[in-house]
Amino acid sequence: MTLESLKEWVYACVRCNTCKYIINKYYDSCPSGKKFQLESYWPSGKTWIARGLIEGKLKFSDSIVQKIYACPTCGNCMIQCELEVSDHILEIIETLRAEAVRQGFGPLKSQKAFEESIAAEHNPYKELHAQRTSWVKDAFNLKETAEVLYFVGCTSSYREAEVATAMLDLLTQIGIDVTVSKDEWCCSSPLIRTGQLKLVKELAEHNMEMIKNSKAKIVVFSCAGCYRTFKEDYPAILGQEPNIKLYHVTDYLIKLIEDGTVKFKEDTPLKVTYHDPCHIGRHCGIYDSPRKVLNSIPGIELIEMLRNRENAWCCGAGGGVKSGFKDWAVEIATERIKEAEETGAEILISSCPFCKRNLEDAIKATGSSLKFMDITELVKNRLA
Amino acid sequence: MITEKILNSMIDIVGEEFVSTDPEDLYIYSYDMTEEPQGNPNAIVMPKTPEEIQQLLKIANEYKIPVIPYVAGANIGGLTVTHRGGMIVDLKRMRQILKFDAISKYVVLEPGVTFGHLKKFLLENHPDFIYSYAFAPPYTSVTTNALLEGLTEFSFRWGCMGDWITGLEVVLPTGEITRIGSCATSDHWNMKYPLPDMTGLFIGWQGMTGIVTKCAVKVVPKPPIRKLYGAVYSGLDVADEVFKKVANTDLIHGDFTFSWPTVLMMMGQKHPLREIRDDEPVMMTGLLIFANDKKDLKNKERQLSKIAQEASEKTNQNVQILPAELGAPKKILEYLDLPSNLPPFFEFRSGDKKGVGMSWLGTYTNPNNWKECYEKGYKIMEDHGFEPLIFVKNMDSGHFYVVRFLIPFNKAVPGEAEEVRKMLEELVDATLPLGSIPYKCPAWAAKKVKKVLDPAWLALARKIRDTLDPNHIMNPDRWAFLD
Ligand SMILES: Cc1cc2nc3c(=O)[nH]c(=O)nc-3n(C[C@H](O)[C@H](O)[C@H](O)COP(=O)(O)OP(=O)(O)OC[C@H]3O[C@@H](n4cnc5c(N)ncnc54)[C@H](O)[C@@H]3O)c2cc1C
Ligand code: SF4
Ligand code: SF4
Repeated sequence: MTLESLKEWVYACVRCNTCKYIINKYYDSCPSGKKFQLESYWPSGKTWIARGLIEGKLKFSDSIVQKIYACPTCGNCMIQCELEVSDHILEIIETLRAEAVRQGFGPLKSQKAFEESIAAEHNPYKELHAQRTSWVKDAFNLKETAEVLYFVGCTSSYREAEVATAMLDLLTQIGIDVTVSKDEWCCSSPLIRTGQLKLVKELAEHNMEMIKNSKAKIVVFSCAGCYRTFKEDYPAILGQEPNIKLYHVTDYLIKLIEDGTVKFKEDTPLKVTYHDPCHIGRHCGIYDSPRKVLNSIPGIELIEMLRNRENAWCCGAGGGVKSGFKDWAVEIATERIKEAEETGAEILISSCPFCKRNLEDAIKATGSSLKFMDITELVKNRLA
Repeated sequence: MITEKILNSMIDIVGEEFVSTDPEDLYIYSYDMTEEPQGNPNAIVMPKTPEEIQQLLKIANEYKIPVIPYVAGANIGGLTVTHRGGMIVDLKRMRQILKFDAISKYVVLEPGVTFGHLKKFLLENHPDFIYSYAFAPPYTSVTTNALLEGLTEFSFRWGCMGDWITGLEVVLPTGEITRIGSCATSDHWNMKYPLPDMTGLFIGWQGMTGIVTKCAVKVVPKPPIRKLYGAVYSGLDVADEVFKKVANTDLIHGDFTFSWPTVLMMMGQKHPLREIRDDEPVMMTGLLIFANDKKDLKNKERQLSKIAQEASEKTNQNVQILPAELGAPKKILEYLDLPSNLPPFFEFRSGDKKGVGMSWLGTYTNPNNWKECYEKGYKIMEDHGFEPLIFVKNMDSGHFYVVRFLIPFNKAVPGEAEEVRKMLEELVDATLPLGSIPYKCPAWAAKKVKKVLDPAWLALARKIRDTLDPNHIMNPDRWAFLD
């Protein structure tokens, strides 16, 4: 996408202000506007920045970069805006970022390191590629090829290995023919979301080739960001739909629960609440599956937060915010933790290692007694 | 000009993150949704307290800097677009609901509180009370709507929203903070009487006489029964007869009348609208009845039917009135559950070029002349190739009416904004002689109003302005007849 390609949509925001809060419920919806308040931080402001740039009345600058990157690309604006432009706001934000990078203004300094690290080691965490699967226990006895490939993602591989371990434990325990690949590379989500597109095609092509080599018929993801990237971005990058079935773990589990492969034991009652990761929720429309999974576990009582499903408040990590605005990312997550606490739940469940990371940071920062668990961990613990 | 020294003072007052001179901020605030040409401010500032505003106004006076109060900029009159630079004082951070009094039935709001937030507050805390919401986007300011003499759900019964104000706190252009109404004597904000009523120094002034930092508005008890009816008319005469008759009863609390093309637009049809058939109604009204119980409702329904029948007999035209749930499409009912957003209005002319824009000429008019206003405006709009999207409303039990010519347009189409302005000018020229006065009056229209203004009125208005704002810093582009 080029700035010019946005021309069709930059006159389509009327500045009615509706995207600023949740429609008909009037709760906060936009972390960026809520924090920074000036019109330029709200969704409409970003659209109008694009318009000013296209009209030649604005030029890229550090202050524009600050504004277009101060956004976790949560997509809440696409839900609240009722005009046709709603489907294009994220595209506008991401295109602005790509253009900022192209013109040498973006991304933010801390985000530049992603690209260097991914180029060198195929992950944004400056870790060695050779260590990517070091979390895999020998006991898993993984083969080179299998029916199902678990695409682990960088965050679970290097930072939240409990999610990856729980996922593999879970799938092997129920007898799924599954493997992970040592040859997995970053899905490219951190690059796409921050407008650094140089390596993206190569990464996508490599990952598709890696999947082909695994002979898998199904790819399962525990990371919402990786899933979104494969499902929504790869077709555009590669010019074709991946000819393989892609499942986020929540959708996959529903399939396995429904066909009787996953069975749960009776266990102690537990009150939980569920945080919808933006990347599977608003970006891909997965709201029911995680709830169905939770509701099918004996003893689990799911209590919804005030803002849930398409209206969920973002965890604050995405879109480069966790690296670009460290404190603010935790501030956004803190608001979510408070909301989760208000439900009276003991455990906050979600289905993304990157949400986990930021929400746990907020739990630590606030001293909350809430515990966080990825949905895979809960399901694994409760297997019959 | 805002020099670095002035800017630093502004930063000292509100904090660095709430002052901006970044070109993108100035650009965004330099437009609104109307056809008003771009007008660049020099800075944006977002205060949080009356004291901060007080200090900002002192600086503005010292350096003669224009000050433009702003909340959502959605007034549809270009009223926050400045053509003389200056500082936009964006009041969105002032969002507290400060007081609710269930006995004397008012709520005290900061200017950033929007219709949506007030509705949420009432639903959650005082569900037995309601407010009269505008047919405007949910996140626009309750205070500015009242200060702009807005027209809302229950204006049929209780008039325009300036009449709902029971107390104000204002930072005067020269920096003093003052309270108006009973709140000047105690912390009761329930009445503007019996002191001389000075609310008029701030209502209708478009931010030229000070910045309102607290506004008390009435709330009303929720009636046991609230029911909406739809009336469709075969001609304007029968509609006129119904309007006049219902205004002389206590049957109705709210009404919204739409020309038939407007009804088609609300149902999702787009420009260019199909031909209207002869057998289609000319207008539709949503009529809101409050009732104490079913018997009361039945009685009111009977009276309404009688009025309809008599109006029909008198004019030889038809009117049909039905409970809305039997006749009105679901979409329209949703839009009438205020505050609601109005995508079909905005996108009516978005077409292939995907541009939006919204303007209007809204007038408060004499009930004797509304039909003529309507008919003249209908023709002008058609002549300009714009569908006659017209809205009529009975105000304050028939003391005056609204006739509003609604103009969605497409900012992506070159020249369309200019065409809209031309049409608007013709609409003002046609309706002004009929006793209509533009509300939320844009500066260019104010110049036309000047031609019919009593010079003594103008002299008084100037005297008031000069007294309150000797340096003319407050939103100086507004009410252009004052220049
Ligand atoms: C589609 C649409 C439909 C609408 N329908 C209606 C309707 O049915 N009825 C109706 O009445 N209105 C309607 N409006 C107009 C408008 O939305 C409301 O009147 C609204 O409340 C304006 O709020 P705002 O926050 O956008 O004010 P702004 O545009 O930000 O400000 C309006 C004016 O008030 C001044 N001002 C702002 N804050 C202060 C302050 N604190 N003290 C003094 N002056 C101040 C500004 O300088 C400006 O002159 C509609 C608007 C739209 C877009
Ligand atoms: S993005 Fe949508 S909701 Fe927000 S101001 Fe623009 S049109 Fe309105
Ligand atoms: S993506 Fe989220 S944070 Fe960014 S503008 Fe939209 S609602 Fe705000």
